[in-house]
Amino acid sequence: MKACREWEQFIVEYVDGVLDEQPRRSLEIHLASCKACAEAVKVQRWAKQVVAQLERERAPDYLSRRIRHHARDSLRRQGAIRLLARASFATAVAATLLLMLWWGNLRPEKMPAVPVEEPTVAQAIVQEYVGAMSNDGFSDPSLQLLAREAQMKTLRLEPMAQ
Amino acid sequence: MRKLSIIIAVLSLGWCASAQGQTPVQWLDRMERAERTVSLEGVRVTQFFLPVPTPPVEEHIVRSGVRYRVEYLRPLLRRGEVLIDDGVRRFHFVPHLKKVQVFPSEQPLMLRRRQEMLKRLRWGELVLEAKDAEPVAGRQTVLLVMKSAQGKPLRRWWIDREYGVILRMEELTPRGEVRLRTEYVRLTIPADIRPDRFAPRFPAQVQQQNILPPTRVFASVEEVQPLVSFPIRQPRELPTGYRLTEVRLRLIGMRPLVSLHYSDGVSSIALFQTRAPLRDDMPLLRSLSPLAVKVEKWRDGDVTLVLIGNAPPEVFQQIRKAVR
Repeated sequence: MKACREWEQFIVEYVDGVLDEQPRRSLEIHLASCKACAEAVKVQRWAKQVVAQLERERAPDYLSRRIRHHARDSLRRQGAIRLLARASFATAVAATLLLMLWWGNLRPEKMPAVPVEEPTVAQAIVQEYVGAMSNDGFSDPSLQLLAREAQMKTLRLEPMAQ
Repeated sequence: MRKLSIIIAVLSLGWCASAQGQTPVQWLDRMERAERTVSLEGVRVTQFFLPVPTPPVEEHIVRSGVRYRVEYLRPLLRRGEVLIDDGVRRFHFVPHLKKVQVFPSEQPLMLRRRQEMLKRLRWGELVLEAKDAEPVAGRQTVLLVMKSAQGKPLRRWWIDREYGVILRMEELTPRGEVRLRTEYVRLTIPADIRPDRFAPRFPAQVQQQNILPPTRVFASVEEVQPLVSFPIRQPRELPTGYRLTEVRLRLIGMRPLVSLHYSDGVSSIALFQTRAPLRDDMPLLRSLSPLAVKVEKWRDGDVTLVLIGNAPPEVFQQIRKAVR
């Protein structure tokens, strides 16, 4: 019987639909009885939706073709010798990842979506309260930014006069 | 009959002379429309007085409807910082970090809040007054004062008599203290602004960081409940005039933080709930106290609840007792 901490590592792959069948079934059995992990799955799905809403850099056509080509090849081999096909697929996935990494390195000015620096619960509560407090809807983007900074005391001020 | 005609004529003249014969709500509608449509360029100064007084922040603002470009001029530490909001995304360029952070724009949320406020005004839960006022940035203004039903001022807007744009604004706490003042000191309106002023172009070698929106705002508890495993606690009943305005969901690590926000248009009160550990963070929460905010924390099973708000003490206690 695995602990929740061990299941956690499979949740992202499960939500992405890339988890192998055996661990997927085992995880689903676990999810049926574990509220905390079921919640983690819901949250991960939500986070994935949010990321999907953000604009993404499209890979160029030639790179997409190469990725599709690798994937097709690996699927063909899967029909011949299962074990060998698995290895090929792994190779294709690794190659794809390497290609993606290579592409990422070519574009150093772009970074993937990242979460904001993790606040403590109290910091998050203060930010949320302040965000919702001025509720007349006439705060423009700069006023929203300054109000948050003023409340969190992170407003960048003039250096003190000597 | 003659006397009556004279009285009507005098009243009409007075009506026309003050605030150009428009009702306060018509002025507010005009102000709301201006927020979405007018093009301007100018310099604005903003100062916070609470929770602690801060030095003024000076911004060069270019606006065309919902598109904003803000360049910070003062304090010197902010010089070069740029904020661009095109109504969909917000780009925040901080030169010394060599980073552009990209967030979703909050303007759709602001639009929803404005509509909520207009509803409260129409229902008489808030009161609006309009009168002639002194010029701001050399332009003629009308002063709109939004008050509670009991007559307590909450916001003051000095709006441009010709275009309806907000030229100066003061936000007050329920205790009547000014929390923030912002006003234009120089202004060109209408301004001829090229669309490329809102293009997110930043110096080379600047990293672009897509920031996950930390919070998602929902209209009802029912929309959020399926996303969290614990039953969301709600007050069984609300004090008169208070309504649920927003339900916010935020992640702390993998743990959700749910908050239900209530308001009567004057005060706000929020009920936070999470399974994430809230250790000795109370001093930070109490840092809100200059804004007349009260805080109470308790546990219900494995969920920590925090009630926080600037509502009067009796309202705060009424909501606290009604939470199930």
